[in-house]
Amino acid sequence: MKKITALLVLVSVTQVGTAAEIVGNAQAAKAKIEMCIGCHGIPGYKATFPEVYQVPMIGGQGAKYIEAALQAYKKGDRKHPSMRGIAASLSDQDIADVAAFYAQQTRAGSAK
Amino acid sequence: MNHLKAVVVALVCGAISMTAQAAGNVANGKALADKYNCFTCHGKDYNTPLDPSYPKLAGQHRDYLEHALVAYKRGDGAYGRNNAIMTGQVKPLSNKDIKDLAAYLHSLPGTMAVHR
Repeated sequence: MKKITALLVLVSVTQVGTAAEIVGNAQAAKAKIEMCIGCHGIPGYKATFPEVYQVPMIGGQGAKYIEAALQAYKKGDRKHPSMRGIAASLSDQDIADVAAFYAQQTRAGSAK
Repeated sequence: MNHLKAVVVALVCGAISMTAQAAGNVANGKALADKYNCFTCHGKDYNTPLDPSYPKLAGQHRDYLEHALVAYKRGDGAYGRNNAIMTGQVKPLSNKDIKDLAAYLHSLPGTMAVHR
C-alpha cells in the first residue's frame, strides 16, 4: 500500500513538473510568428472559406485562450484546415510562446 | 408619379432592411446574449473572461464571430468545432440569432488589436 502511495505521489509530482515546464516566452516567439503574420498581422485580412470572414483579432487576446485554440486545432477538435496544418507544426512550447507574444500586444502596439 | 415614388420608397426601404439583416441587430443580439447567459463565461463586459482559457469577445470582428458560432454548429463536420460547452450553447441559435449576437459582441468596446 505504501508503495502504491509513493508511486502515486511520484506520478503526480512528475505531472506537476511537466505542466510547470512550459512557460510562454514572447521574445522566443519572434522567430515563430512568420506563419501567423501573413493573415493575423494584416488589418482586414479575410479568409475565403468556408465563409468569407475577417480572420480573428488575436493581439491582446488571452494567452491561455490562444493556447487552448491552437491545441484544439492540433488535436482536431477544431477542423479548419489551414489552422490545423499550422498548429500541427507547432510544439507545445511554440504554442505557449506564440500565445504569450500575441497576448502582450495592445492597441498602442507590440513590445519590442 | 405617385406610383413611381412609392416604388422608389419601397426599394430604398428594402435595401435598408436587407443591410440591417446582413449586419445583424445589436439590440436583439444583446437580448440573446443575456438570455443565454454568455456573460457567465465571457465576462459582463465580454472582455474579462471567467477563466483565462475562454476568449475575450468584445470588439472582435463581426464576421469572424459568426463564423465561429456556425463552426460550433457544424460540430464534427467539415470546418466544424467541437467544444464541450459551446456545442451546447449554439444548439438553440438560428442563423439570424448568430448574426445578431455577432453584431452585438462586435459593437462592444474592446482592447484587441491587429499588429504584425
